[in-house]
Amino acid sequence: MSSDSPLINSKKTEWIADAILVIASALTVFPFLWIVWTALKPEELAFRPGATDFTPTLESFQLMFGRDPALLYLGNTFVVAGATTIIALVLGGGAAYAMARFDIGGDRLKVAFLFPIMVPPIAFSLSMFLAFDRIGILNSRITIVLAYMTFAIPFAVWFLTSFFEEFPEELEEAAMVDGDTRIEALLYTVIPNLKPAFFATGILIFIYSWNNFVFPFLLTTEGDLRTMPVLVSTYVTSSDLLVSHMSAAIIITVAPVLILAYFLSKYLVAGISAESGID
Amino acid sequence: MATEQPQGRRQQTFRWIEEQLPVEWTLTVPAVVLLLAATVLPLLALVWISLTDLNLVTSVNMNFIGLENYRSNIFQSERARSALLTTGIFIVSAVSIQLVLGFLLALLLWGRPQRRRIFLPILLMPMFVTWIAVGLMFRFMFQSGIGIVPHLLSQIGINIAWLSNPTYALAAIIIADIWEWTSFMTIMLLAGLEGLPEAPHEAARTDGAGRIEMFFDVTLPMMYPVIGVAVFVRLIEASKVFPKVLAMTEGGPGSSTETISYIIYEIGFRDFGIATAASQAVTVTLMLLALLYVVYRSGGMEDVF
Repeated sequence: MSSDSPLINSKKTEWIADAILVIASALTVFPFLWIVWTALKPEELAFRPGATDFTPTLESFQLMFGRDPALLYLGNTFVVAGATTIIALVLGGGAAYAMARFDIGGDRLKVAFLFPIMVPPIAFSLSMFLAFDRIGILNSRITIVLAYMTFAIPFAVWFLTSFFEEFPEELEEAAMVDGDTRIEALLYTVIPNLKPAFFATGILIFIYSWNNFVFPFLLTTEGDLRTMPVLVSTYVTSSDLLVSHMSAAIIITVAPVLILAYFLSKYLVAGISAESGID
Repeated sequence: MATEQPQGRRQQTFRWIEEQLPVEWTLTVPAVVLLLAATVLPLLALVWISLTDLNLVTSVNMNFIGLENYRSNIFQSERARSALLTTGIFIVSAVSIQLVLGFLLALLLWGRPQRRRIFLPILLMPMFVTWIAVGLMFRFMFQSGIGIVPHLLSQIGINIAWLSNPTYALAAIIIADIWEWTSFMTIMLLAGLEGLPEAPHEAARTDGAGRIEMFFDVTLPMMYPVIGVAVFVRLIEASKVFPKVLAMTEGGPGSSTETISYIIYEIGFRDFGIATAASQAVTVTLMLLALLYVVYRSGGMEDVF
């Protein structure tokens, strides 16, 4: 059988379905292609949407790494997102495990862990800005990581709790009978078996931190600590319009994430298939 | 591998810690403390500031003025009310269109693993683009004179100055959001569809139900919990809309595309009217927490977890 779909079950409907999917994919991909196309244009032609008569140039990328400190910013973004991911997985993972195995706080604690996601980042940044400014730690990577905790820990707890709940308790009990303590059983028995879950959760937190704009934009005032999304925003302002530079910066910012996302989406697709038993 | 770890070192590292506190608290307390420091402290400070007249431009002193900010800067402020309305219009239009389109795409991929392998990775791409870049990409594509969209539309005789017309500017922001987040609905709903039991569909088919009937009578009712979760998550994220507005219109033309997060940014960070911005931030936060409470009370949280 070519298809198990309950709704698409004839040659004609299959054809229409595929046509819609192709159109949706084309609309999805177009902005990406347009940005790549623009990045290859010389800056003076980038404003002209109809311009096709040009020699593709990598000038924008060269300037990005030569004149603009793209490497420094990429490094900042990587350090901040990496630190956030590790801290969130370690602390959030511990809390998630405790909530899955012990009767602490119950649903209320889970909801409490979720509540920061409901708060607009701008609300956090306002008082963080004032407090960090007063204490004198406004421009530091630590404050950005602390701000990222507002979403990273809730994400880690939320996702990992369900993975721990599904994990068979007998395995860690066996390890504990063999003399391991609870934390040793968690570290040497449970987590090694949940590597894919930690990996997927980690990628998600890393991508979300990498992409965050509001916190580094509002909590840093010095160029040296800025992240890629902030750099991207500097090319198009009300007074300045450097579109092929902006396009190059977007490509540099987005490419690493899309590579990670490719692995994540394979995992997500596999997850769906495993759940349904199809495939 | 873990099993090859020398027993002695393992004991030294963790046993002492575990003896100090019940293990569930050892594991939970660090996360709770860090989260309290990152969220509750700033929020308490925010509430305190909102009850004062702190303004970094007009004065250095900070006087307690009670609920005055809430009276004059929210309920009596044309700008705040208009921003709330704009945010509402944005949320409702963006999320409902994403739901319809995302559901359609999910249905087209349902039970078709080969198609899913081809199309899903492509459709999911926009979700991973940093928000500010989405805004800038769409600003660049929609801007009159330089954008590809007005350029293509003018070829067929349609001339719209997207970003300088209040209605079209908001529409452009909504279009950008739809491009970015429709596939989130698709993946959530597809996961839900693939998890549905097959029996009800089989039964409906033997009863001779048509495809449309089958969808509305069998599929849709079983999908309500998943739809609820997907809409809830999108609703929260959409309510925070800010980078897109900053990148595409800076609130303009005039103040027609100012959302609530955008005015908090402009009043607080550009004009340094900290207390005013704080009172508005507290108000939005309370509105969103009220929403969370309603969902929690109605038992909707069972589906979220």
